[in-house]
Amino acid sequence: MLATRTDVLAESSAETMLKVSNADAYYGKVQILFDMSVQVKKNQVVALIGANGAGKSTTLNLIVGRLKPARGDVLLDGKSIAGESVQSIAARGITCVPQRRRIFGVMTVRENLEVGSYPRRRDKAGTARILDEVFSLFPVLEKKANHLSGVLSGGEQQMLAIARGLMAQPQVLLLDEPSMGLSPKLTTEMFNDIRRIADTGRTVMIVEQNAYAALSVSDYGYVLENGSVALEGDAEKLIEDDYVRQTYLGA
Amino acid sequence: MLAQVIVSGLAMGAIYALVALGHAFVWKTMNIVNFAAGEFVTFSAFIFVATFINGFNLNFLLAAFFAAAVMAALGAAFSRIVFARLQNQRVFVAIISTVGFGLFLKELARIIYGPQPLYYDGPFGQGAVSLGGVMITYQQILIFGVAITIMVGQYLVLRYSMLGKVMRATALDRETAALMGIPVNAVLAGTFAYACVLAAIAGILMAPLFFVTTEMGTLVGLKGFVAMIIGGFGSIPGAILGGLLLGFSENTAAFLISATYKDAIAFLVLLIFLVIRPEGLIPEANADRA
Repeated sequence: MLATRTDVLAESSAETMLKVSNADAYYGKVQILFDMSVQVKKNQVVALIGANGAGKSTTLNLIVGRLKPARGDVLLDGKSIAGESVQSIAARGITCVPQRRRIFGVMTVRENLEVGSYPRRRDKAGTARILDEVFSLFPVLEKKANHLSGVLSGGEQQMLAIARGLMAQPQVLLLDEPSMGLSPKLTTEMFNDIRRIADTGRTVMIVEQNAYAALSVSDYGYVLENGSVALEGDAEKLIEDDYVRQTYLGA
Repeated sequence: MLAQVIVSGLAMGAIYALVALGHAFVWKTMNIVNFAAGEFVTFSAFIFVATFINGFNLNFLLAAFFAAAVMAALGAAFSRIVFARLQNQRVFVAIISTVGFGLFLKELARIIYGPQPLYYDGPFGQGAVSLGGVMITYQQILIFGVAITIMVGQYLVLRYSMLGKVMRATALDRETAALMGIPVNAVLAGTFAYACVLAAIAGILMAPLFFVTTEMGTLVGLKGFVAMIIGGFGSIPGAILGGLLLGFSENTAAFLISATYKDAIAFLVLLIFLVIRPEGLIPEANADRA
């Protein structure tokens, strides 16, 4: 049968941006990841969920270059990046919004955003464009652009951390526990923001303990247990899955 | 007469301030104290006077430029070779390595240039202008001019340029800076090199005030450290203010009491500050908000 136009489009939009394939990883002599394989397709939002110690952070460390896989590979847009330094991986277009936000508190909101644009510092026009976009996504950041970021509220600081990540115009945006330290209400708002950002054509991977919040805005999800993938599938199916509901959603 | 004493005290204070600025930068970005700062002052005075002025007969500006460039290269190399290797050790180890490097520089100067003190007249000779009865030497005017230019330039760079913001971000949080693609080790080496350039400029400016000897920088390095503590550990405006205050008070007190105790007075000022205002004149947290 001939491929229809929609099939072709679906095929091209399903191109893999980021892939961890069959990776083993160790901290010292202790093996943390066993044959870990996850992938994020272009313009997709993927959630990595799991309990403490399941291997979420280690997988993230593998992707950002803090850890080298003992076996297996990490691929960005088909090219291996395993073993490269943190800064060169960042320069290639993987931007991580770190746990606990880690904004530069004694610098202003605008300065934080400018530092975020470092990987694209030569692209002045692009940086001006993304700054406008970030300000329209988060109007409060424009209003407080000249405030020291340390005086912002927790929710605003999380917005700033994500906005700072967007300033790098990343190929893949990694969010490490974005709900940490936020109230349930702010967490919901935050994940809605993440969905809004993703809908503007961005590729996002969320590493999150709050399984429900993460899955409800994701397209696809991986459930990690004991250093490998226990379960994967479309996010809306995972949310309905009995095992996931009992183990991670407290239902 | 007192006004005269104050002017020369402030000139020396401006030199302490330059060294103190270097200490503050290194502390903020690398969390270490560079105890080789004094020897950087000494070594730069030697290569400036003996090599570039007397040896190559260069004019003041060129000689100063080359001396500063050599010291920057030396600082960057030291940072890349030594600090990069000590990264996984306790910071104490890196601090001790600066003490060792200081001894190395001092002895290197002795081997290359010999033990005899050198004399250097300064770019404008030993003349002076009178300002309301107070004599200000050309050299002192040069010191004030250079110090002010550096401080203003540095403020503008840190505040407005991408380089400055990257340096501040790296100082605040190295790990996050690396996640944004900032080459952290290069920034640290660059910061250390800049601190070495500040020490080098101090040496170049001091050369006409004293004889150039292998001991000339040792106390200046320490007093720069004292000035940074007085100003507020790691605070940049504090380092400037602390340097000026230290130069002013040691000279004034030496004049009023006895010149014999000049160095002791500097450390007495430190003791007084540690007792009554240990956080310094402009503590870092407040200084950063300024």
